[in-house]
Amino acid sequence: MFFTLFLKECKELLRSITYYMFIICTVLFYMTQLGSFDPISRPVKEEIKEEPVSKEEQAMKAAISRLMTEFSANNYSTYPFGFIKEVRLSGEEQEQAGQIIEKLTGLSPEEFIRIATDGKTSSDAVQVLRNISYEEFMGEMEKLDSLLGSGSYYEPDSLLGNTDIPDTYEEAEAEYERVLEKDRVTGAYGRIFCDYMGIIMGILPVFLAVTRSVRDKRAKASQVIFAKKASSFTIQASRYAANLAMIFLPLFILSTMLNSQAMYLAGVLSVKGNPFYMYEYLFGWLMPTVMVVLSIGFFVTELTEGPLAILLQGGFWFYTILAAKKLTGYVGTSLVPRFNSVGYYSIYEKMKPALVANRLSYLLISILLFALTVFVYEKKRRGGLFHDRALLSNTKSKHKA
Amino acid sequence: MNTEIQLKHVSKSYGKKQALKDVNLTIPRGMFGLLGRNGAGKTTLMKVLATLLKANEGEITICGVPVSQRKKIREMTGYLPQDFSMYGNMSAYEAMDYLGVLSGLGRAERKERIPRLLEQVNLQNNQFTKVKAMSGGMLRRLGIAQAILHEPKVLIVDEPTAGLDPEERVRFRNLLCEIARDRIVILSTHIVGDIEATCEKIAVLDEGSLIYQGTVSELLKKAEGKIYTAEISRVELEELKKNYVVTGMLTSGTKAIVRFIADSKEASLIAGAVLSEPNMEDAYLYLMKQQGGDK
Ligand SMILES: Nc1ncnc2c1ncn2[C@@H]1O[C@H](COP(=O)(O)OP(=O)(O)O)[C@@H](O)[C@H]1O
Ligand SMILES: [Mg+2]
Repeated sequence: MFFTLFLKECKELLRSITYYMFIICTVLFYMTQLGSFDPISRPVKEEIKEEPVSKEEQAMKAAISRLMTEFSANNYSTYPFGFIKEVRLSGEEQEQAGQIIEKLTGLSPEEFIRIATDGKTSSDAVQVLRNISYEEFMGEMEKLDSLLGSGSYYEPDSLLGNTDIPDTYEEAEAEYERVLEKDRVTGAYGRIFCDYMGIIMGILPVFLAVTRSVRDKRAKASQVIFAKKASSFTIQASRYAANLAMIFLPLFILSTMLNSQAMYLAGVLSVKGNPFYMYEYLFGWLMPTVMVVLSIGFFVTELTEGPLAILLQGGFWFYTILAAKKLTGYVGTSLVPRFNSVGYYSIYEKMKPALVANRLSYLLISILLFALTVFVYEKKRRGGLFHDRALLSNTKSKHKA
Repeated sequence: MNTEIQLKHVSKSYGKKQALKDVNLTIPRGMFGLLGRNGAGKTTLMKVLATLLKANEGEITICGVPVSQRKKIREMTGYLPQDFSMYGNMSAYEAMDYLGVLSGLGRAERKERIPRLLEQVNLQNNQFTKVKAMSGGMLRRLGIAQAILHEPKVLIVDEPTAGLDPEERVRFRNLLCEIARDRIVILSTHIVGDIEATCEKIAVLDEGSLIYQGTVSELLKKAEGKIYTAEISRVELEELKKNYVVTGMLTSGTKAIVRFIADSKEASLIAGAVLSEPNMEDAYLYLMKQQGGDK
């Protein structure tokens, strides 16, 4: 029964306007974002700054330079949950921040501000004291960050994260080799595909889910379907699975297009591309996103019988996109992990455990929400939910005998 | 083998509103009519039988199976809701096929039964007509076809004739009678004519209580000796209407022939009142009047 229903649901999707809108949006997004293939190539020596500066040094420099503006103005930008928030420290806290500066640079706060605000000096004017180690520096940054209520620019992880992109020729060369060896070129395109398509898959499936969920009621078909033998699980699961499959249909085609380009490029770069990496990313990375959005759509709509899910998911999605602190290698608790670069296997390698945990969590959440959907549906089928709702409004006018 | 539906002390309320009050009812095989005005609780009772609502109190068995065994009950009952419809973009055949799958029918069964049933409800030329393009009557017939697709022992039909034109109504009643030959068909209506023509056994619901249960002829017998006709003037008519329940009238010029409910003493006060045979409508109104008087 399940499979027949599943096929029927797929067929229904093929006749639904919402589905074609979905396809158009998806394809347009792909064309604009990934339409022109961005080939990986061996880094060119001249294009990269020669002066080898370590990441640690860069991070410290960046922190000091940012402090010069923010401390002098006592106006710090922090990003708790990805939303910008201006922080002003109290007199005492600002004093503590001053102490941190003094410890790291040897300059009194007054002097520090004077140098920062005289307009002539470059950002190199203030140096970190020689006897301050990187670890000590980061320890102070951590204190500063907690003074600011966390989520600030000085948070050690993001300080270092911001300088993740290699700057020296040697590093770039090593990255390139890793992409050839570990990604076999093809994997790098799997990540960029998931990055871009994840953005719209964080929202589009909710429209399909809501459309399907309200359809029974709109068509006045819910009562007659309720009374049939099929279990609530079979009914809901066939709908859910059909939507999932039909969402993956265009994704599969588009990713295959990109994959064949990547395979070709691999050949050009004399590497044997792996044709499966793309699909591993597709299902491991992108599918949990689609599933959660579908589940939220199905669950909220079954519960509220209205389009509220679109609003909720819209908000969640907006927040998710804004919350990404960096575009390449961001995971956290985000619904849409970001990796907006082709290559950089080393960054991927670092984020992988977090990514796996993140994806598994969302997978679990989506299954849970789906189970709740079935529960709510079954409840309604027994008349246990919403049946007294007419009481809240005008029973007489609402209820036609 | 038990082929009855039994309700014992069934009550159902929506919050404070009691829609069914201690209903005791036995429904045998054949056509069974459930009569009652709007809001009497007919839909509620039918939903309880179709397992879409749970009674607060009481025991219900359908052919020996308690309604708490939903899956089993759903297998043996077909339900046509009061305002049945299906997805508008589906054709009659597709709608049947979809609902047939939900009833657990295999491909071969569906292929064999759907054309046959569409023919039975006279939709054989509308296999490809989209649901959204169907008239009320066609939709109702499609509703019947889907309800008996899985060959249920019990068919529950909620106000199927509402909104149909007289010709369609007659055809629809005949269709139900045909179906009722080998199963229980429960038909609810607030139109007396529907029941008079088709059902032998009936029950009357009023404000959630069962006020009559039995055969049509027994109900008619109750009203015997209470229905009078008289030829009166129009002026007298207004006066009569104030004091008696008028069940029918025919006016011509300044005269009117009226049917009304009265006992023999009352009737003797009206010049020219003649006792007449009650019809179903008279009997129903007599019942409702008595019910009102009791309160
Ligand atoms: N979902 C509901 N919530 C509250 N009251 C309801 C609900 N459904 C029906 N009722 C009330 O219960 C009574 C019986 O309704 P119903 O069974 O639909 O009557 P019928 O079908 O005989 O017209 C009516 O007074 C109606 O207003
Ligand atoms: Mg009703």
